[in-house]
Amino acid sequence: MIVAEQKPLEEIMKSLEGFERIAIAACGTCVTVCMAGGEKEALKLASILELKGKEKNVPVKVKVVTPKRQCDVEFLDDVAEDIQDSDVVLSMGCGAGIQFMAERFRGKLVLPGVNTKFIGVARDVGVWTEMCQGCGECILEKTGGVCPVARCSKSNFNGPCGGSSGGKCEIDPSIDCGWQLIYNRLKELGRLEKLYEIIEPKDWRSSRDGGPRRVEKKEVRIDA
Amino acid sequence: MNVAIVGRSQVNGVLQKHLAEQGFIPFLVDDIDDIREFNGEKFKFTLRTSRNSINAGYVIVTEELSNERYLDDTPLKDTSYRSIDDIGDLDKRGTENWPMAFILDFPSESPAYITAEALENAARLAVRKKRVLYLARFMRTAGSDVESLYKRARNSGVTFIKYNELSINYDQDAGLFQIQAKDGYDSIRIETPEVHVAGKAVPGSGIGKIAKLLRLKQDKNGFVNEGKSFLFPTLTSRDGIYFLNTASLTKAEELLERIQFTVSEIKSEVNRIYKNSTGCAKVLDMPMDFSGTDVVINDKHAVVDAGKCAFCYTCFRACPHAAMAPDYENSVMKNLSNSCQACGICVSVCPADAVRITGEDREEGRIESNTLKILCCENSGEIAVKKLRDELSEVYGKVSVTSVRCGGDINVEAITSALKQHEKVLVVTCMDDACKHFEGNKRAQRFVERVKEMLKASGMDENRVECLKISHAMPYVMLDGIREMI
Repeated sequence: MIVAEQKPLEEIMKSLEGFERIAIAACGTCVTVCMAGGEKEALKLASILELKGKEKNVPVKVKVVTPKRQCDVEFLDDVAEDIQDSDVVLSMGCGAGIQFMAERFRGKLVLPGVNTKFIGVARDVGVWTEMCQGCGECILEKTGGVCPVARCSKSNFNGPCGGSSGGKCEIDPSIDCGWQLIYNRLKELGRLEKLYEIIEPKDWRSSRDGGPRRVEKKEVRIDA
Repeated sequence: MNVAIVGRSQVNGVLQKHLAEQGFIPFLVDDIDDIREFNGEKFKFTLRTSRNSINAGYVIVTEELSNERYLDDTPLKDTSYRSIDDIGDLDKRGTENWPMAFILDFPSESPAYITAEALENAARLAVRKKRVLYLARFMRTAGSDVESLYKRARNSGVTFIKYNELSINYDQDAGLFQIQAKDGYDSIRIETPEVHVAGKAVPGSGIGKIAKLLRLKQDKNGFVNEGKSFLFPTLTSRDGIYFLNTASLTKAEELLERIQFTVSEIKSEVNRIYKNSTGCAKVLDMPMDFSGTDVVINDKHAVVDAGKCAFCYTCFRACPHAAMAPDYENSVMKNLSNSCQACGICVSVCPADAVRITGEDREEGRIESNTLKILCCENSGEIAVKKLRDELSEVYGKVSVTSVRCGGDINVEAITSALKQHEKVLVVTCMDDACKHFEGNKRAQRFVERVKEMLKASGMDENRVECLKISHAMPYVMLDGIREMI
């Protein structure tokens, strides 16, 4: 899932200053699950915005809408009326949702309510960690299912750097060394010989090189 | 009705007999490694082993604890200690007059029989003009005859010391224990060659396996039902599942008492529900089998809005009573209403705002405009505030009170919503380790802290909300809290 974190409240309050009719668009998928921008978070924000309005004697009206996903246009259509009725939209979706919302509602100012962080997993209630950077060419087959791109701080491809100590990373001792994890996993699987294979330098063209990426699945395309 | 007995124990036979006598059908599953699957809720548990599948209304876990001598985690080896019952042959003991220490270092209540044994032996030594110190982290007060034993020990000259912090060193050359005990105010140093330490039961790996399988909450020591002194020792975090908590050092009469309590608890519940659901005044001796029926056991419970549920498992993980279960057919969570205690923790953690408690409206539209809103837990704040009727008359009209099942239900939104209609909000919840729902009070406190952060971040007064942790017997602490806010 895409993991995001709510922006500091000061920043959100500042960006919404002066607006009286505010729509907060939560998103019902990834950011709900990572508790950054689901309906509950949107309701909390709405509540505090209204409270602030009341204190300043400004009649702030906040409407919360929760499309299932902000990254599919039909769900955005469902909430169009409420969005059109507002002066400003605070999108709690990930970076994709915020932009797609802005694209769908051209005349509206759409502001971000979250900082999008990474593709990751829920480690515990309230804790998420990064697992994938979307580099475009998966090499997990070579590394026992632990990604050296995302989980080694230096994205090393052929073993740890000199800073790995006691299984921890020199960048931050609370981070596990990605290569230690790879070693442990391959050992568990009885496939340590995999480590003798040299991994060729990665072709980063599949990643951020070459501009925004596009995926097409020909057989499902609809002919114009 | 079937009752499953899970675990290997010497008491299984006695338990089976007691259950059968009360009209239940006991099923024994003593090989816990053979349990493939465990599902369901009170009245509808299913347990699948390699051989068969069992439906059971209740589950009683009997897996035994193992015994260990307490204080083993200190660097001292247990050879230097004497146990609580090893006071030697009294007639042959010399005239030594060094102080002797009895140490009961249990994080919460020491078991009744250990307390009794320690008090008895301390008194027996003290009465022979020995200097006896009785050190305990937690003074047990409940239990038959404990009060008279304390009295006897006091009259015999035993000195009682209650501490929060304890350190012990052993000076090999001098053959002396050096004990330092602190209670947060004072500190005392004791030197003694003779220390008696209570034995303790510790959970073995079997308990961990069962806890995981049955989704029972374990405390930091690995017990599934310790540390909640107000609970009878066989209740667990999950309704319908009991844990007999036996170890070979448990005394037979205490065991029997626990078995009788558990079986009669189950029997009276079955009869009560049968009576309520059929309207039949005459309670049948033989409990009926509820499997396959829709008997309503808890009319107040959580419900999940399937249209909103993100199937994120947050409620499943956070529920202290294991009352949420996945509904794979519909890709949503569902509430197990027979297990649900309506504490509202799921409501407050659900990121999709998809859970609510039946029969609870959100008080929207109700207009109140007094100075202080008190949001309180029904187990502490609500009882305490009711005792303050006279004292609160001076502020009548300025305060309104809403109580909920558990502080864990008083979430950020509930507090901010209340702040829209009231100048200030006081959240009153149970004291640490006293929450009936394990951590609802801590959640409430964290929610209050979050609201304070939010108020501060948006330039408002963070002191508009406060949290107070009290017991129901502390109304005047609550009154002070109220007076500070208005």
